[in-house]
Amino acid sequence: MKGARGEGLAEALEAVVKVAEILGAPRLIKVVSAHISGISYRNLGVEGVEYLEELAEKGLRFAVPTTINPAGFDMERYGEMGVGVREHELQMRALKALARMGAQATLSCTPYLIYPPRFGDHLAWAESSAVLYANSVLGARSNREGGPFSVLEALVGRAPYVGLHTDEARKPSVVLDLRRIRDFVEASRSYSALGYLVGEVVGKGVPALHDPPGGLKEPGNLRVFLAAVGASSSIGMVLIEGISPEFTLSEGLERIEPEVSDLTEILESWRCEDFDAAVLGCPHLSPDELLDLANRLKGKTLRKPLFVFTSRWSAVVARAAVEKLRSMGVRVYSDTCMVVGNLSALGVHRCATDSAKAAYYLSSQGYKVALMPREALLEYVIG
Amino acid sequence: MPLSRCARTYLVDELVELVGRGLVKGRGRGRVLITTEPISFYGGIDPETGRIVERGHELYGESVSGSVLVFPYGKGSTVGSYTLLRLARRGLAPAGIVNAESEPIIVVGCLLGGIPLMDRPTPDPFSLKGIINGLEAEIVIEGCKGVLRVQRDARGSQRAREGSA
Repeated sequence: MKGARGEGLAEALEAVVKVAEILGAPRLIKVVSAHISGISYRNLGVEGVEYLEELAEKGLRFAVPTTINPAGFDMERYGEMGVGVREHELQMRALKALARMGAQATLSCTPYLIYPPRFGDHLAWAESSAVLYANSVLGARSNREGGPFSVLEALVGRAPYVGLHTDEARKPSVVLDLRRIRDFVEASRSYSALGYLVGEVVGKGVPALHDPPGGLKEPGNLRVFLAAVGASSSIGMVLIEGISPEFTLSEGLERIEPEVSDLTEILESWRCEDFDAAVLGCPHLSPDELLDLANRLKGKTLRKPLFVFTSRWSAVVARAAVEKLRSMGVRVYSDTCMVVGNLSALGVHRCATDSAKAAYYLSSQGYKVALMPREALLEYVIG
Repeated sequence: MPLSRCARTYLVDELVELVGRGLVKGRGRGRVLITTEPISFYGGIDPETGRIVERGHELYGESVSGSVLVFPYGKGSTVGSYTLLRLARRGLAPAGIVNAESEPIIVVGCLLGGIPLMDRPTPDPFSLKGIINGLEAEIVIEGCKGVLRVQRDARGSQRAREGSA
């Protein structure tokens, strides 16, 4: 291939090979899709946006179907989010460049709901919660790729053949025995805190959850659980008995038995007595969760503002539920989320959430955060 | 390795030479800025000024711009690669980077920003921290080989004497 396009592609390939080398990968593997993160204008800056525009200008196109993570604001409701003209322009330029290269403007951390990969598919995905879902629940294969790196992988349609792409790395490295905390988790519905705990005590590798709490089978609980594992560790896959298609237990593995106090410690660390809003949707709520939420809030009055983040796809699929929620005063946003968006511009400084991942990132941004199960949070909101 | 070669490598009075794995080609010149603490380029460095803004970091408040930045490895969000790109395009990037062991955030960032990068240097720069920090150095990456030459000029020697006094 000649010209700017050929040169650009050669550079991208060289970068992917270089990273493969330092990771000790013997070769690259073709992937069936890519998911790009880190595309908010705050992360990219003017220079990052120009870089994406140059790639598109050279004629480079993504070699595989490619989806993208949430951006800095809702494409329709940015006026409510205190987004200036300059920021708006910058974000739109980045999205336009990505679209020119062929990306689907999913703007969501739940690409697996929209384009579910199949068992055994190799992926180059860069959003940790989506990678955990793909590996642990669908049996697809992806490492936790870097946001900027995933752009290059999408261009060449290949990833370093290492880590969770290989059979060896998908075997359990440690067994988590939850017998001492299962009842507590079920009674308090602390699935997200459980995920945070799993990440904290295991750190890396592939933990196997033997005889997990039954509530993990509810998709919403499973998603906040996996997202929390990703926030507190570098783990990319959890083998959950009864859920993960590749669940196995082998002899001689180290066993860890967490105590109730380990879990209450996490819950205690995110306690905030008085919050000014509740936020849901980390990961983005699914159509089912939007419907469930609308049903639960039916006929109730909100005592505190409730913010809900979802993908545009989910909001369209569950359109009636979203309309109902909005008519009740629930603030529903798409294309962005509480972590990459700007909650303070929405007047939120102290908030309650059901997601330990959101709690972790929001506290690091200076927000006061309370972590509580969704049921308790909704009780509080409707009083 | 015969002693004579070792000696040539780093016992020359006016020059300390570190040899390692070349990862991103190019050459650069600047003062050595060295830390034994990992660096997060996302949130840890201001992309508009090049200063280290991570509270409690050993190099807090220092500017990495134009330096030959020596640190063990990168940490934090992968979006840190864009910070290196942004610094490079503003002319605020380090002249070169030396890691104990590079990981993808730094490799991708240096590739995007055209910043010379090497890792696995010998002798270990962190054991020479007090000697080489602040000295003029040249980094040259060709093929799979990276070389960092640190000039022990009069100022450096004088400082060493002051330090021992």
